[in-house]
Amino acid sequence: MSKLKYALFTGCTARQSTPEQMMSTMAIAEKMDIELVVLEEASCCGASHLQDYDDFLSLVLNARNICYAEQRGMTMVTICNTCQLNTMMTKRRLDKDPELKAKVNEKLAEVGLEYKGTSEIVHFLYAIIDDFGLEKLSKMVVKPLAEFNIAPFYGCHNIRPSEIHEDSNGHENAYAPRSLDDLILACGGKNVDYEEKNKCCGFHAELQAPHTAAVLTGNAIMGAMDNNADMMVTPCPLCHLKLDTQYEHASKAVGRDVKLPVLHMQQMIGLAFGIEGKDLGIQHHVSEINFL
Amino acid sequence: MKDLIIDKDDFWVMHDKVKPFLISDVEEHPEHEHIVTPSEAEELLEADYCIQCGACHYSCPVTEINEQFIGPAAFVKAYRFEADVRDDAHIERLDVVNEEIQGVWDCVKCMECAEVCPKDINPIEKITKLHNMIFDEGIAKNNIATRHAVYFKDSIAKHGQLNEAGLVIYSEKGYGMYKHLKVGMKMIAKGKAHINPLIVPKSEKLDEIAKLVKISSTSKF
Ligand code: SF4
Ligand code: SF4
Repeated sequence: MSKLKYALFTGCTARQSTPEQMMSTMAIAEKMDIELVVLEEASCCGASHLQDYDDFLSLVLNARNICYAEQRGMTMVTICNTCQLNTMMTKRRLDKDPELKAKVNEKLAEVGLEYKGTSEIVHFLYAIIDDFGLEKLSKMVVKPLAEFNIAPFYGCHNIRPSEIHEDSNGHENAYAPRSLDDLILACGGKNVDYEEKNKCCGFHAELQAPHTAAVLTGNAIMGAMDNNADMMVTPCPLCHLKLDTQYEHASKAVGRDVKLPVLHMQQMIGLAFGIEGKDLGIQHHVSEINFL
Repeated sequence: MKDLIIDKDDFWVMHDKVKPFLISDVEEHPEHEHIVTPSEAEELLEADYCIQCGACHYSCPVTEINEQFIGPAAFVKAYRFEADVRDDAHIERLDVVNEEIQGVWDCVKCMECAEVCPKDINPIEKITKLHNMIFDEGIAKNNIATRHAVYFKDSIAKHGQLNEAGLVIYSEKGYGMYKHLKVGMKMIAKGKAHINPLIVPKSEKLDEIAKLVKISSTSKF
């Protein structure tokens, strides 16, 4: 197999609030001999909020980001569910509406760019599963996570709406997703099944609706705890921020102390590969990693 | 069969809240029909195909927690009339969905409504449209939710990236920050945030981004 190469759209969070996600992404990519070319030109995707204010601007900016993957002739890989949804939604809308695409391209032409629609956009989780393969991954595991019950937390924007994602997420069933469970098993861990695994963490309304957001976070951690999880794992840095840093607000909202260590999926893979915790950035977690 | 029928009282209460009817000054003796062209009808984005099944309303996590939240089905209904060229209500109806706690701003964007709808109506798409209409009509209030949406544009023009700490400070108007102090301090201690929130990574080719923001903006606040 030729070497896997992707254009990496980091999103803002991996460069700011979850530096450990960037570290662990690069660390496992190196181990897996995957080349990630960082799209340094890329802007913020608007995080599902810019489009509420200015939908057209959001399309133009996302199309521009995709242009830079196209220029390199690569598939774009995202490491944030919300980046994945926003970028993919832009692609879907432009690819099926030539008039809208022309309008966007009119703006892009002013900076010498053109959106063509030639690059695929995939979340790293699915690139690992579909392109790298879990069998190959499991052969690289030197420290199986066998002692641990790990609760997968999928995050909304990788699985819903399935109409947008199905071609890039292996037709994941939004009501019974499997990918992250399979990844946990491939890393030698035990996957925990619980009701909240495909539910919302509340991140996007955290400032506007703190109570709603805190209850959702609390329910998620509680569901995992009640099913004997030792830790949670997520492919989304926004879910991670919410679960890792907001457990006190969440505990207050649900009337019970809830707290679990939360790993990024990249960190889970890295630990199974035997990479040192500090190289995966576990020192950056607020809900301490207590099991290493 | 009867035990399969759910009590949908709360659903209809929310439905009625958004004035789910055409509000129009119809002449008493009109001389001609008010013709709606096919392209004008398309603006409804099939919102009129809703069968009021309630599936979206009851899979929405916010309706479960916040009893005042109007919910996706009624938002679809509000959009259905707001997008109708014969309707003259505009602000009167938009005011209802623009209210905090009950309105569109409290949606957590979980996409459950889009997933579950048996008629493929995509309620969240209509919710986004309502947000857009609120800004277009100039009735967006200066509150935490609107500041939060608008800040993205300013930050992208300046840094290319979102200034994450800046977003919280701006949205909370500074003084609301006390709620985040404890978490903020922990994040700073763990290297997840900076003492100086002005330190933000920048995108390359920032001039290009700033130019696109300038020439592609369609909204004002
Ligand atoms: S996207 Fe918003 S309206 Fe739709 S189900 Fe989720 S919270 Fe409710
Ligand atoms: S699920 Fe679809 S058809 Fe049913 S009430 Fe919601 S929008 Fe209408």
